[in-house]
Amino acid sequence: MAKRKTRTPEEATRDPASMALLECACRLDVETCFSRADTLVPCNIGSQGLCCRNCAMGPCRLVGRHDRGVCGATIDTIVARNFARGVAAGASAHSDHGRDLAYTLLEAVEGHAPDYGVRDPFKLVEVAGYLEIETDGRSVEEIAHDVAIAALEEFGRTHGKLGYLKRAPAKRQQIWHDVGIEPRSIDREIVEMLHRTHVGNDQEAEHILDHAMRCALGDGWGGSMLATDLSDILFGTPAPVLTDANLGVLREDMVNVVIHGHEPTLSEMIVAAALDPELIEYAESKGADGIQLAGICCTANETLMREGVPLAGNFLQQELAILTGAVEAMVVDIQCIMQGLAPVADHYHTELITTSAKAKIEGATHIEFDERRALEIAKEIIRRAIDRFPERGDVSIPDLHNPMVPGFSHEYIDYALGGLYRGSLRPLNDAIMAGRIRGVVANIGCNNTRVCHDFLHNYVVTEFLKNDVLVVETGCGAIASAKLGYMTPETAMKVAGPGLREVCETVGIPPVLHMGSCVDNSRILTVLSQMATEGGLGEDIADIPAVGMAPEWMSEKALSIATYCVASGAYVIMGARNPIAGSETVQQILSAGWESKVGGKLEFVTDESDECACEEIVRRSLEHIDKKRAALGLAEYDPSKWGRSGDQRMPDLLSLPLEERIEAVYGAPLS
Amino acid sequence: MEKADIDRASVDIDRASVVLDVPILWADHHVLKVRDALTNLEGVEDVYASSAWKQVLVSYDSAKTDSATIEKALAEAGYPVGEGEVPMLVLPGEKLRDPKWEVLGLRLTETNQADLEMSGEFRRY
Repeated sequence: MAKRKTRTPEEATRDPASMALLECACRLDVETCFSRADTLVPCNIGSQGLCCRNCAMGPCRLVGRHDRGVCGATIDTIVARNFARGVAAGASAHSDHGRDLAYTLLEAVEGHAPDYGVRDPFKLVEVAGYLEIETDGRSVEEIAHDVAIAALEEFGRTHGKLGYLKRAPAKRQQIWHDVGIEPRSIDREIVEMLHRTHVGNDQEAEHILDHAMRCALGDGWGGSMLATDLSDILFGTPAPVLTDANLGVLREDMVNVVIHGHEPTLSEMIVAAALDPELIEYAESKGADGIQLAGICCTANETLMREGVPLAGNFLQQELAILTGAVEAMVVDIQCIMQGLAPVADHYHTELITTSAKAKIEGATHIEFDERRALEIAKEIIRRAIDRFPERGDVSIPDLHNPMVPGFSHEYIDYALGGLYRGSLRPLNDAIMAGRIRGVVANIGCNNTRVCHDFLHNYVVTEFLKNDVLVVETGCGAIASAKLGYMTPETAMKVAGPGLREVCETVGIPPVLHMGSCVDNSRILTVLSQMATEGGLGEDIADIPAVGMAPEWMSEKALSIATYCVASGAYVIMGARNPIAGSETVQQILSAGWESKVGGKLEFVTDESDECACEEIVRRSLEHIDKKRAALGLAEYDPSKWGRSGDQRMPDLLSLPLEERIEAVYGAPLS
Repeated sequence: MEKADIDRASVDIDRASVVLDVPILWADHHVLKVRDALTNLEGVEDVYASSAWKQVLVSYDSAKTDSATIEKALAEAGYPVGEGEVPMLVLPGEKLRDPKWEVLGLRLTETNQADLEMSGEFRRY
C-alpha cells in the first residue's frame, strides 16, 4: 500500500499565518490536527455512511456483497439513520446552548447571577412579542422573567408546535404543516430522532429523513434562534465595530488569553475581567504591558460582534495559537474544542482551562463556571494567566492580521438599509430585483483538515463577489473571510463586481457581512423570511435567489444547520465530505426528493481536487440563483449595466491633471 | 498691438498657478479652513480646494507672491503640503459604534405593512 503523502504547510492551509506556524510545528516536532490528518486515513466505509453501530450484533459494514446488516437493515436505511443521528447531535448541541442562555437570563432576573442583566431592553420587548408575553406597563425584570420561562418551555412543550415557527413566511409555515414536519418541541424531536434510529424501528429512508428535517427545524427555528435572541438580550444586539483578525493580533508584550468554544456567557465576563484596572496593574507587575484577549471559533464570533475582541483564528488554528508560544491561557467552554490542545499546551507555558460542566479534557485545568459568581471566576482565570506570563519562552507570532468590521445582526442590516425611523430590507430586495445584486450566498460552517484550510471558503467567496453575489457569513467561514481582509467596505472597491460594488459603496457596508456565530445562522433565517415578505422576491424563502453552503464542513452541527436551511426552502451545498455517498437513494431523497417536498435541497459536492470542487460549487450556485431570478421574472443578470457610478469613474478622473479633472467633474473649466 | 492687449499680456505673464497635494485635507471643514488661509493672502487670485482629491489649486500673481509663500501659509494653517495622511477615525479596540444604535428603540424585523401597501402589485413578482 502506498504511503500517504504528508502535506507541506502550503498544501495544508491557505492562510499565511497558519503556514508559518505549521512550519514551526514541523521544526519543533509538535503534533497537530494537520499532521494527524496526514497519517490517519479516514475509514472509507464509515465516511460514506455505510457502517451501522446501532446494536451489538454489529458493527455491520455494508461493502462488497453485503447489502443488508444482520438485522436486515438496507444500505439506504443505514445511510439515512447515520445522517439523521448526525443531525440530531448537531441540533442537540445548538439547542442545549440556547437552553443554558435561558437559564442564565432567569438566574439574572431572579437575582442569583448578579453579574448579568438585560443589556438590550429593546430586543427583550421584541422577543416578548414573538413569545406572546405582555409588555405594556411591566418592568424589564418582569418581562425578562417571563421570556426566560417561555423560552425554557419551548424545549419541552407538551402540546402544539414551536412558537417561533410563526416568524417564517406564511407560505413556508403552510408547507411545514402540509408535510407534517412542524417541530412540536425542541427536545422531543431530538429524542424521537434517536428513538427512530434505534435498532428495529424506523426503517424507511425517506421517513427517517423527514424526521431529520423536523428535528433540525427545532434547532434552526427553536434552539439556535432562542440562543441568538437570548444572547442579544443579555449581552446586546451586535452592531458594526472595527477590529482585527488572525494570529497576529496576539501581543508579544502582553498577557494573551485566548477564549475558544461557543458560548458568550463566560467570555463576556472574561472581557470585563481583562478591563479590571487591578488585574491590568497585576499584569504590569509581572512585566507585561497589559492583557490581550483574542478569540477562536464561535466564542470568538460572539465577543467579536459585541465587544470587538479580535479574532485569533478559526477551528483549525486552535493548536496553532498555542504554537506561537505567546498564549498564557486558553479558556474553553463547549463544542469544537480539540483534545489535541492539551498535548500541544504541554510543550509550552500555556494553561488549558476547561470551564463547562459538560466538557472536561484530560490534562487541562478545570475551573467550573458558575453564573452565580461569574465575574469572580473570570478574574481568577485572568489572574492565573498573568501568573504564567513570566514563564513564557520564545515566541513566534506571525505578523499577519487584517482589519474587519463585524456586527451585522439582522436588526442592524435593517437599520443600515432603512435608517433610524424605517428599518427595512427593501433596498436589498430592490437591488436584487434590479440586478445590481445577482443573489445572496450564505457561506457558513467549519474547517476540515481533509481539504486545504480556508482554501474553499476563500475561493467561493471571491468568485461570488466577482459575480455580484452578496455574501453573508457566520462561524469559521466568516473568520476565513475576515483573515483574508474581505470584511471591510474597501473590499467592495477591490473585489466586488460592478453592481454589488455600487450597493456597498452607497450603503457603506462590506460585500461580505459577518452575521455571527453558528447559532446565529438563525439571523440568516430571519433575514430571508423578511426578504420573502418584503415583496418582489416571491412569497417564500424558496423563491429567493439564494444559496447556502458549508464548503469545509466537519461537525454534526453543520448537518443540522444544512438540514434546517433546506427544510426552510434553501438550496444548500456542502463540500469536503459526502456522508451519504454510500446510498444513491438517500442522495436522491435529499436532493430532488426534498426539493419537491419542501422547495429546498441538500447536495454534497466533493472532488479529489479542491479547485474542481470549488468550481462546481460556484457553478451550481450561480445556476440556481439565475434559475430563481428567472422564475421570479427578474431581468437576466447583466453586469455590463452597472458600475458607471462615481466609484467607477474615480480611477479615470484621478489619472487626469487637476485642472482637467475639475473640468471633467464640473463640465467647465475653473474660471 | 493695442495698449489693452499689451496690458492683458503682462497680466497673463504674471499669472501663475500651482497644484499642491495636502494629504490631511480630507473633510469639508478643511476646505473652508484652507480657503480662509489662502484667499486673503496677497497675490492669491483664486483657490480651489478639494477634500475628494486632497489637493489645492491656487492661481496667483507671481509678481506679488510665490509657491513657497503659499506653502508656508498652508503649513501655518495646519495643512502642510505633502505631509501626513488621512487618519483612521476609529481604531480597533476603541469599540466606537454608531451612537444612535444604542437608543434605537423598537426594532423592526418584520415587513412594514405600510411599505407593502404603498408598493403595489408589481413588487410581488
